[in-house]
Amino acid sequence: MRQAPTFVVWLARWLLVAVFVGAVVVQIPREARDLFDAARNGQSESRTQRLLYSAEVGGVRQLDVFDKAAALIPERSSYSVAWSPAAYATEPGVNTAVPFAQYWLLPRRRVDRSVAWILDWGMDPASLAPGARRVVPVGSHVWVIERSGT
Amino acid sequence: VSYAGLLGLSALYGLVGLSFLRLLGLTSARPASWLDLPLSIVTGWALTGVVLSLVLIAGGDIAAGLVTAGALAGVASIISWRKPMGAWSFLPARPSRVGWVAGAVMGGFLTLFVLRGLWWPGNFHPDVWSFWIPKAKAIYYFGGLDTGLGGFTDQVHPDYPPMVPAIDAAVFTVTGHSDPLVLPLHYSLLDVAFVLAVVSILQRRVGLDVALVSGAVLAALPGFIVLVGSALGDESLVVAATLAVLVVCTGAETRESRFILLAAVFLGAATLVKNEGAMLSLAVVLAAVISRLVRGQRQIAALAGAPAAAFILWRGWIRANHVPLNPDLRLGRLLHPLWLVHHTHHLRSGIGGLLHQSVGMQWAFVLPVLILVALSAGRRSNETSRFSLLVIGFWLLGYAAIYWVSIDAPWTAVAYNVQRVYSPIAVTAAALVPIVLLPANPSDAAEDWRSIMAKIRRPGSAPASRGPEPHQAQ
Repeated sequence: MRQAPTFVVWLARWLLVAVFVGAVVVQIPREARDLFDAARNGQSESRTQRLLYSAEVGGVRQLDVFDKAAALIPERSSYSVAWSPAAYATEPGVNTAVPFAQYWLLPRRRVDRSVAWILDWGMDPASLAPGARRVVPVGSHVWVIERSGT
Repeated sequence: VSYAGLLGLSALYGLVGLSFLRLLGLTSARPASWLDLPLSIVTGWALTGVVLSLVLIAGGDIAAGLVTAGALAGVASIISWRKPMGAWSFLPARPSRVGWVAGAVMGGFLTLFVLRGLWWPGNFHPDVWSFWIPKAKAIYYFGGLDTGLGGFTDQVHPDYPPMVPAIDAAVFTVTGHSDPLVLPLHYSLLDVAFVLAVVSILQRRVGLDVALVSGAVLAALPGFIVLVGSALGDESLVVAATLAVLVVCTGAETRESRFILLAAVFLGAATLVKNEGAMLSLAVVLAAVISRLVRGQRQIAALAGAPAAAFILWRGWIRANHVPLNPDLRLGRLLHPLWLVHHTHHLRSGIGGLLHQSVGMQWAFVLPVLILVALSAGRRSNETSRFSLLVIGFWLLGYAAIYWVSIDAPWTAVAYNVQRVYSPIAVTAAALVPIVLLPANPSDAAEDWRSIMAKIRRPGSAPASRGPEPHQAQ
């Protein structure tokens, strides 16, 4: 048989719900303002800025490296990435830049073996790929290298 | 950016979902209620995601998956052409003034969701650009689950199920190119449909006014907003897991299998969204069985069948393609007492971290859970309350177990993902509050009120009970 709750139980239940709803209602202006600000910020920025924002937040300084590399390495090619601690001098966000390049450069396949193209942060191109067909600087101490004979 | 393609994909979701709901007899060909439309869209999203994943597992590509989903919708529509409208679909009453205000607040937030999705400032979570989008691009460019270098399985977390990348790749396919800035709009629209679908389900159980207030609270809940439009797997997990629990709760009270089938679709989708989805689905099935909200072998098999099949198929594909499982996270360690004893500090750090992070700093995540637990504990004799308590409890235990078997430094793992871990729990708890709070029969609430008023006026007296309710023993 169904029994009606006592007044105390009934009151306690609704007080709990009032606390929950109240806590959310108090947040409404701030949450709405944050959402509006995010939309306004996005509208005021260029498409490129929005696409590269994650890399920027990750500390990458040379943001145009990714587009320049994409323009040089053909879409159906494979490439490898090389970097050395020396890269930190000009690119403190190299830890973010390397995985971000992998995301940015798809459908180019990143591989860990010797292939036609190398995206190089901070390593000397002459020692990395002796006799390379092309070495194109795409940033400060950042190069796209096309090997010879590939 | 081709927004027409995105609208077309949303229309496909709506068509697939509507035909399935109609096949189950849960709605009519022309939706009786405008609230059936968002429910159709999220149901269609879940079904399309499951179909895309299965087609990819079978070796197909996204185009084949989309065609299959559309064809299945067509077949379902033909089969259910003359099926009578289900009793679940009805025109809601007009909301009261409170309902209008709540609806306006909810509408304001949903509009902001869409605007932020449209002009997403680019602040993707590192997980999104480091593996969710690369996996989607790999599917889009290489024509399926490519196992070669740079392909699907050469990304971070290759053992994660494919539904989110498959849906993202479908977005790329219909918009014509792999533009990541389209994804926040797609997911924001999905979240709008999700909030309205929650209102749609709740209003059948607790009335439109309460459902609109719940929708407003959900839309303004920081624990939900943090995921809206993010394109994280956790966002899809929140949608699938919450709807599965809600449908089990509201539908199972009628003991009809068609609700179980709808819940099974969402559980299947949750299983294919993330590895944690399998744990969440298992917890829902266990809670439904233990609380006797789902009874009989057929109903239990129907509820458990979809997530089990999804899990087995994905694990089979992983094994067949020699994809390494995440070495940091082996659930098999739960069966090794010595390993567990030596790693109790993981469990302590995990639980401590969850409590500290959430109670100390993130009220928006833990408060709905506490409220729900408090409400449910007071109504333990009620099947729905028991189910709610068990689901939330099992989910928390499940995440604690995951932290326990992880070889990551526990505090680092908790600090990195506690918000996202808590989101499905918090959002589901918030959605369940009105169901646990209010009796299944709306007239019971009025009777409670009359009884309490009578007791206040004349202590010791109360109106005679109307007798037992066939659907709700309390």
